[in-house]
Amino acid sequence: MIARAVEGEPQAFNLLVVKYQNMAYSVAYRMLHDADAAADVVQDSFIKAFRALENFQGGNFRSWLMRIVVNTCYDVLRAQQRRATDSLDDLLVDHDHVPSLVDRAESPESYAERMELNRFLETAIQALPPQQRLVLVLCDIHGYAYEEIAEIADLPMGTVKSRISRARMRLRDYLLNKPELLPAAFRP
Amino acid sequence: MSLSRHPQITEELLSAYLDNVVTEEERSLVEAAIAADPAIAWQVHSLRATVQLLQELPPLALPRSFSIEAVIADAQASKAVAATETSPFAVQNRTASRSATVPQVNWWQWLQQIWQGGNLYLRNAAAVALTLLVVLFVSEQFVVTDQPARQQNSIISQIAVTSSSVSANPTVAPPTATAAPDIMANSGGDAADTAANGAATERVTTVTVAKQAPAESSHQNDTASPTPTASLRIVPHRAPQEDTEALDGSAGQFAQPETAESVSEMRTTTDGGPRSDMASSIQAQHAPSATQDELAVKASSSHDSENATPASLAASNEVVTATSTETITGTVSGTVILTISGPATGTLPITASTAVTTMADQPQQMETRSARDEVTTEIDGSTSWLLWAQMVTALVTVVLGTLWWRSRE
Repeated sequence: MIARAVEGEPQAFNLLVVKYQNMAYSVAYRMLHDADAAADVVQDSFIKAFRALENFQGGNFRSWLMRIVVNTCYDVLRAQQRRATDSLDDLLVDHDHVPSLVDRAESPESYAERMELNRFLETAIQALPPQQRLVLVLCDIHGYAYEEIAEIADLPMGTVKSRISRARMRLRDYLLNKPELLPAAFRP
Repeated sequence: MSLSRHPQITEELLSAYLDNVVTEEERSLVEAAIAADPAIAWQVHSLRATVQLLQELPPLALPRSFSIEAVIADAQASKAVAATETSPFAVQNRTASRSATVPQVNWWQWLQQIWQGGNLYLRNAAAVALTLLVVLFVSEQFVVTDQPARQQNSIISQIAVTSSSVSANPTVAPPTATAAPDIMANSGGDAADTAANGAATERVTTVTVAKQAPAESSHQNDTASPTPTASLRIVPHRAPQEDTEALDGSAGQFAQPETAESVSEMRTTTDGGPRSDMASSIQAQHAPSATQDELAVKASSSHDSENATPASLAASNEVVTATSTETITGTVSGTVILTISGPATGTLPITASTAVTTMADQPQQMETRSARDEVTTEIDGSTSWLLWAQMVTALVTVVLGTLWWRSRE
């Protein structure tokens, strides 16, 4: 399918979009913590990827695509830092809402607890610095290998390892602020 | 950071141990530290639980589909004609639920979007054709309006005046051709070209009176009446069909499209004060040329004064003579319109002269005024060439513009 898309078959690229859009949106959302901004980044990234297909020289297409998404996210973050203003839209957004899928087999109590834990976990992820947040999301949420993360983030392997370890430590320490939500493994 | 009791056990090593990216030696070292130190064990277990929580996070719900069929279709269309640019944030991929408003596009941006779309080569070619069409229309006006200025600097009138006193028999002297004019000034060849494509150019020849002793008269009387004047004016123009009639009263025949015609209008105006009789004649003669037989001359005449009697008009391929004998008072003017049809190119010199003989209140006095003028009218086909060029350019502009507009779709 990747080869057909590179050759110029338009429907093949759309199939790639369907395959990777969930992952792309997940990374973008957790990087930006803004559903609209994440959607724009993903859309823009797929369009950039389509137009840059001629430059794809083989290899890991998923990593190549995610690199485009990550770079676009960094562009947005830099722009947000430059603006550093609050908009009315931000005031209206429910930051406690996490657009997670609903498991209909789950009991209401479990669902409530899980949703609370998930919200807390998302908050903890957002508390991380962007560089640590990225490697943590790629490694622990989406299962990328160290080599792939190094290629996506354009980092040396040692830097990837150190950032992942620091991110996990920091996240764990943040979660320990609410031990009642955590499983028993967190208790010493 | 390393744990104090086991300095070789670092956070990075523990994290790598969780991801199973350590060597066998490092694995043994970590497992030995876990067994020996509860703190290291808790570190490993808590980190593993943290990773597990992250892995168990549910997938996020997509706000919409991110397929880019519109962009792909646009890219395909662009490859077919030309590369066009579209905004990465195509409106087609936005759902109606978005609260973002569509930015308003002013008329200038709208023009820019139209101008930048489609095949650029077709667009530029259509623009060049349109510019050429405008130039052709503008140049036609300059060619027409420029000629009167050129002609005014070139034509010099000829003046010839004779006068004679009458004999005891007060008869009206028949109109005669003028004597050799004292002053002859012929227009230069390069400046005598008369526009035959529609603009009227007027050159007024004014006659001044100079009295001369008559050859046969025995009496000479000075004229006590106001100085009569006669003027000849040749106005080349393209007369409309309705105004030109042949001698027999039927509609004039005009040149076929493959020929051109030159129309000259010669007007005579006389103002001799109170008169009892006046005779005027207009003669127009074109010089013999190699294509003389191909020329056709038609003439019509009219008088502006109610007091004038209709003039008899005779025309041939060489000479048109309009003769009228009339009693006038005040000013009378007559017009002879010559329509000369000939081949598409060539020059045609026309010589016109008018003689007005008037009589003062006393029959013994008679004065003759005459004027003569020459003009060279050029019969050419420049008008038809310009018209064809305009038509062809307009057709090319329409075709190219239509192709460019369709390429934008």
